[in-house]
Amino acid sequence: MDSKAEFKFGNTSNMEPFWAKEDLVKTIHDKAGIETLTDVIEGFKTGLKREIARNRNVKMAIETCVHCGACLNACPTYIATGDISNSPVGRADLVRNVIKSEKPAGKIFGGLAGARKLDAAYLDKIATYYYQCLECRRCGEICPFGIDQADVTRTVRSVLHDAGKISRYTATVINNAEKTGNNMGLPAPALKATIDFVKDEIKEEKGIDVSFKVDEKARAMFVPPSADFFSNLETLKGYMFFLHSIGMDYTFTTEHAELANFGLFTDTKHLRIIGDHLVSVAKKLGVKVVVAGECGHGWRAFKNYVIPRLKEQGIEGIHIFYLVEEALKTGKIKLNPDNNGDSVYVYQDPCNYARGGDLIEEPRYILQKVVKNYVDSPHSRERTWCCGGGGGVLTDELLPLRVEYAKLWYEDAASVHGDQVIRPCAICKAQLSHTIPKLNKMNSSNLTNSGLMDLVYKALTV
Amino acid sequence: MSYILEIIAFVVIPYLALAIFVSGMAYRVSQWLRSRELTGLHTVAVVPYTFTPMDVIKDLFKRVFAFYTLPKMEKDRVLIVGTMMFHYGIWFSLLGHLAMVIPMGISLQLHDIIALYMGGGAGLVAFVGLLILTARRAAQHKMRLISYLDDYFAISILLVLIVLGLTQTFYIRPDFMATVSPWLVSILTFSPEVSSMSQISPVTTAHILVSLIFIAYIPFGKMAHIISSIFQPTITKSSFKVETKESFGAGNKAPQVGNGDGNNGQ
Ligand code: SF4
Ligand code: SF4
Repeated sequence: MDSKAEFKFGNTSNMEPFWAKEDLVKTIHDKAGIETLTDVIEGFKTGLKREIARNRNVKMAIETCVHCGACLNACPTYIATGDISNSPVGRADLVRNVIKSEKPAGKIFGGLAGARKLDAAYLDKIATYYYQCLECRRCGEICPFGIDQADVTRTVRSVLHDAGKISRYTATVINNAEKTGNNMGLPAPALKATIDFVKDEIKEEKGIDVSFKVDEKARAMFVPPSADFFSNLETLKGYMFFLHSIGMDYTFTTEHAELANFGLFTDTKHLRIIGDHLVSVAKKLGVKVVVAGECGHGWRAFKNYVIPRLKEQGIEGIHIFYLVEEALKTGKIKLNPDNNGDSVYVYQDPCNYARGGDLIEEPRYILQKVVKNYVDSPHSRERTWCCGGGGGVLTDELLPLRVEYAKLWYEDAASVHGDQVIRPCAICKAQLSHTIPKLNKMNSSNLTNSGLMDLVYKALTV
Repeated sequence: MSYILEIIAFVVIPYLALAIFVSGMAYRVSQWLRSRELTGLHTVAVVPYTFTPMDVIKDLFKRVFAFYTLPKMEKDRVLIVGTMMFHYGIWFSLLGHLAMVIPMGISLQLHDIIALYMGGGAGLVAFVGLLILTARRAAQHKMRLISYLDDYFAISILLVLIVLGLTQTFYIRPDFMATVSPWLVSILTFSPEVSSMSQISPVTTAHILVSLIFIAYIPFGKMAHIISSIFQPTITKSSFKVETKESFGAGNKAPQVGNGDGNNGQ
């Protein structure tokens, strides 16, 4: 079956994700404690109005846009596709126009004012374009009025969620996370086996027996994204070797081996369920601090939902980069940047570290200590391009779209003659591993990528 | 103009417009304040490292007076130039209008010269800025796709308003201080007096009436952006600051056994 639609510049209405089937929707809805809507059209409208009225950031986004079009110059999905409905203001207009149709001005002036009646086809259009948004917040950064379409996207997807329209990918991941405590659905024995395997590798490569705990009481609980137990083992080595080197008494948890939180992409109820589970595990293990690994959107959810909840329990939350930075500043660890060779390393900020994540200078401080040649991407810090897989877009059927989105950062890295792109984020890593081979082929180049703790691992000396 | 018409034009309509403006804005702000959540998150700040109220205030000033977010990404020079000229032109014109109600302690002659050159100049800058913005909206396909009645209405009424204003300043040159000024003061001090307005030109009357319609329209559409930034939590609610300076037990070479020392809620 050829599942992938062809990419056409100017119209991406064919780039539809697979939708979750009824049984999966039911499982997800049961978990969230809601009934699936019977009248989807009315239910969507009611839900939309309720959520807009409830969330001030969304209400103001819907009501105060001046249609200046500044965000068109910022949005990667618009720049890459040229489809106005795949732009911040255009995406917002899809729902704004439904709202307008219920207001007096919309009733009087109709289409002139932009009013649009909601029907099944239009709802499908909304769903398709809302699942093409990367939730990268570039629009929020450029908009003079701080209108952040990412959170409008999250809200509209949440209303779609309640109406039973969820992308199969995000629904599957959420279901995994709620059932097994991690997105990949990795069972505890598999997690333990990976950790032991990595421990042996470290022993072989560095000659050190690193200490750690699994599901035991400890001072700290370390939570990486679960992809680091699966495909980013070099990053995992970096965490373990570093935490050992600073003498941190920490434990992994197999109950919640996940920093990522796809509830952030799809629905706030799941954001809370997944976040609260992390808090309850931390409480159970009696830790004083939870340390987060490399994951952009995971950091946004952790920083803006989980940490405040942890604090209520007297537990702190922190990113591992803060610990690395401190260890470097106080001389607790020693590094040899020669170990990372002469390659040119290009740092590209994960969206959610840079825009609102307050994690821009720390990784740079670390990077310039662990490699000899580090350069910033021309679009760096708040200007960073999304990897092209953020916001729940990282699914196979959308790969043609993801490749188009990826060209933006790829060209940026190429413009500074980078050999390796550093993006300390699980989604970035997955998206890069899928798109770099294609882009390298198109450009006859051989760019590679890695996380940051991978480089810390190599440079760290005993 | 008959006395009745004068009363309608210079007393009834002004107070009606002001009432609509004040109650409309109050309603909108109260609606914004009524929505309290932030899509499930503690803070939704976009600009990094805005932790303190001072950071927020600085950001707000840079936004309003320097339009600093616009050149941040791929630059749209037409938008930047158009928007700068238009807004600065309008602000200086408004300051000029203020001089009609605030005693400046300067001679009428000087007042007239300032109104002509500074007021007129500011008006021209605003006019050119608005023409640039209008041309941008009309000429670019992508801009037409995101333009609706509200946008065209706002542009049209502002163009009319500015053209009427410029016509007065450059051609008619009425004695504002003897005509409009006393009336404006009387309106703002809630003791309406229209006698000074009997001699004004139809252009001035039109300028006044169109501005009153504009004032009444502000709360209903995009013009509410004149104050919205203050209430937008992505801008004015400072970012949640993560504790970073503590070492959290790092540094003990001999790993401790976690003992859940009473602080773990168990
Ligand atoms: S930049 Fe902001 S105000 Fe301008 S069109 Fe985009 S969302 Fe609307
Ligand atoms: S969040 Fe990113 S992808 Fe989505 S509309 Fe904004 S700029 Fe575009």
